[in-house]
Amino acid sequence: MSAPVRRAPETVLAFVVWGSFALAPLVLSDWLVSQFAQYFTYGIFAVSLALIWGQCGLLCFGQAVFFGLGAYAMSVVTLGMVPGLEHAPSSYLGLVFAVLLPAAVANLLGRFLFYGRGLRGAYFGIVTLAIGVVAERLAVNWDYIGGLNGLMNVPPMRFDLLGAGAGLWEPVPLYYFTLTVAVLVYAGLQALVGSRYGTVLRAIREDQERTEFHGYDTADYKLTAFTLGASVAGLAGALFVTQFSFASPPLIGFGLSTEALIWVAVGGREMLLAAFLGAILVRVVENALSETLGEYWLLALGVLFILSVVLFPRGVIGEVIHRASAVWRRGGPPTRG
Amino acid sequence: MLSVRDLCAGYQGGRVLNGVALDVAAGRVTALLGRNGMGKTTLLRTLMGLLPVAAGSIRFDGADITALKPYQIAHRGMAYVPQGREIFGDFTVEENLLLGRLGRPRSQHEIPATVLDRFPLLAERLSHKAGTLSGGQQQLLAIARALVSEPKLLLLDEPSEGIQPSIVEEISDLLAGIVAAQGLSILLVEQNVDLVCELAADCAFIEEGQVVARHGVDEVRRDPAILQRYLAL
Amino acid sequence: MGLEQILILALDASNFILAIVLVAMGLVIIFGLMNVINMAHGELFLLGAYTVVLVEGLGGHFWLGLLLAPIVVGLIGLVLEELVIRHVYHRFLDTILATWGLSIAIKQAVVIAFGPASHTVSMPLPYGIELFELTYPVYRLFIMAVALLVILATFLIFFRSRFGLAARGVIANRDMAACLGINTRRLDRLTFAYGAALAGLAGAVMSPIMSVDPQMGLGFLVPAFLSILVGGAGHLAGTLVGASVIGGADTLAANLWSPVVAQIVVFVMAIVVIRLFPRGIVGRWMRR
Repeated sequence: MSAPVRRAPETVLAFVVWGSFALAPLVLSDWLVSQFAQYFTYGIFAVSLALIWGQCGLLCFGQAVFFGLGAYAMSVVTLGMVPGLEHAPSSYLGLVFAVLLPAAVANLLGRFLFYGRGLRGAYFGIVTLAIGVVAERLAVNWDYIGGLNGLMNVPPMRFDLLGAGAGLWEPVPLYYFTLTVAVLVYAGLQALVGSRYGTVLRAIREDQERTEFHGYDTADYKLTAFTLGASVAGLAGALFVTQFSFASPPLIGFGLSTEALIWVAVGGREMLLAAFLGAILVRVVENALSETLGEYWLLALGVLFILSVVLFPRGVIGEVIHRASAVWRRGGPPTRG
Repeated sequence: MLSVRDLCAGYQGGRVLNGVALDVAAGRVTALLGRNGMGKTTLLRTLMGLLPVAAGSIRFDGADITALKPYQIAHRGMAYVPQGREIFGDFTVEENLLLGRLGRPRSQHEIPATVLDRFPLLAERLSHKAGTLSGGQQQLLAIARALVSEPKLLLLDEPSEGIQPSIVEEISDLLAGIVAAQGLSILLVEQNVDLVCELAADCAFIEEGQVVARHGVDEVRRDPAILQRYLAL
Repeated sequence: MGLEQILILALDASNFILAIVLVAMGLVIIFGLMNVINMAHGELFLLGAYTVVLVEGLGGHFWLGLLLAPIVVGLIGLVLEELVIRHVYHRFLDTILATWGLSIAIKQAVVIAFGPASHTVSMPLPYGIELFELTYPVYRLFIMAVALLVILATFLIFFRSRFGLAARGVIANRDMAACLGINTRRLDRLTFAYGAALAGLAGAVMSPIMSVDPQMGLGFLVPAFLSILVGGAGHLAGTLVGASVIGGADTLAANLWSPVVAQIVVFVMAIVVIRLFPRGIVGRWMRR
């Protein structure tokens, strides 16, 4: 079992990472800045998966369902497609729906999957896989949300306050907005992970039965974690679609779910930050290599995934951080406890 | 027959064996005694290859078996009857016995007649499901299954636990007979002192993951203080 | 619905059910013996179909492809087990991920080798047979015959042979079986190869009536998994029951409504059944 959060190196790392991201627009081109803004939404998505999988052991093969639900919810509201809300296509409302709808779906599913005799790890994975397949098929066949073509021209985020408003479509403000959301989500979830709740989640991951014996209602904990993870994924989806301005079935589909698994496996499932960085790293590398490698990129990614699982259970980035903090501990100030 | 040196092993939670040294002579019954939690079962499991060896060595019948897997150790002539018997309840008696021979090449797949002769009770019930046997009969089955592979060393973990005294008596006579007739070596973990005194030639005492004493069984019979010291009787 | 339509429905359903059973049986045996959930099983199915494509592409006959497919895929299974799977046995959830990675890699390798578009395989028995007043394709009956034979053979091997006894012993109690001298390593390899060969055979035999494309694996993996969960993962018979339920419901619903609705209906039904009978239908029945 991995040791509980080791404060000093991780906090330093967090500051370094977020600080670098904050300063990055000074050196990056506008195009890269807007790319990174998009990557941040993937990062938030990856963090949601790291929460339920890395912390609680819920291996979800269909996390993109929640991401996609958030994207679609945001689109439908801001495009004025919701009956009764046609004349109030507000981004705020969109965000609310984008967070609540996936949460509601997750909660409903969870009630089926975690209670009664409950579905243990692997079976949960299989069922979530089936969900992903079904959801994508549904999306393709539901004309209201555009079917195979999806919804286009989704407006960017718009902040209206007391009559005055501003749309968020310039690269730099968009970047900082997304970064801020990412930092807030990270800080909030990291606090949760470090709290007693997080400890219980990890206990459930390690040995669910024993945790039950100690009097914890494991189904409840799993349900809240799963619901929270879904809402974070939904938020990420909403942020994504306002940038991409296009919602389509692949956002719900099992291809994206698989990608998210790869990001978290390669980055590091047990550290939220490592998962975040994993998403960004894989995307950056993909951008750089997919031109040259073409079809072989996906093959290489698959192989990388296998290698990560077999050789680096902590993830590539997670492993690097782990080694680095071990070195830090040996050479640095005396450790406490 | 068996020579263990500085053996250290344990589970993920922690080290249980802390440098065990033990010799089991050929053709005799050596008993291993100690209070609960001292490492008796862990030692047997480690000898059989079910637990990884952290340090130390195990030599069996002249060869180093420290790194071998359980089926390889079984092929070399070590057999294991675990605590709780672990027979295959859904299979018939015959299938249980047959499983003891399946590790061998095709031609050697039959159950040796000698085993069936020694266990007439089982020979009568070959087609019964093993789960329908009584506790004592299941213990006999577990032992027979181990003997089917014609081992050189038998590891027995608390064979008398939960068995009625008459069957314990039967087991004791049976094992004594085989040891005398075939020169089988036995490492017997037991809490039942009477059985130990009847069957064993000498006793090793284990405490906190180490073998701390050896006494011949006559000595143990004569001097109650020994048992008191190690078993807190 | 007329009698003929019901008959066709029943035959189509049987077809689908038996194909699922071929795929699911391999999965269940691998899971029971090695505690490995092989997410790449759908891709093994895929490789069986593409073996036929390759053989036909090289000028060979369909029947040769059908014969070679289980052998080829069985060998590939051996290689996969040796290279990847045996390194992650002890980490159960990670076997799922590792095999998932294999599924991605295999799928992409197929795309690279054969292109992303679908292929067609020749129809080897393009005749119909008269049943009452309708004509039913002979080849579909052939598929069912092959499936039934293979299922029967598997049951015989499993429950009547020495090898099967050893395998069942390992499934019942791996450690004890090892202590009895059963070479669990070799059994793992053989079992995985056998499960792979089953999937490969299923893919090959189904290839003439399906669109052979890189995505076809998932279309059988999900129903196979659901069948196992619904029927019960602990018993081989459970697979038959589960596949009948899933395959039957899917065919019926697709006929009454549409394939999309069918998928949703089957999924909802599956999770309800699993919720009610966590050990599957057969598991529940066995408990009495």
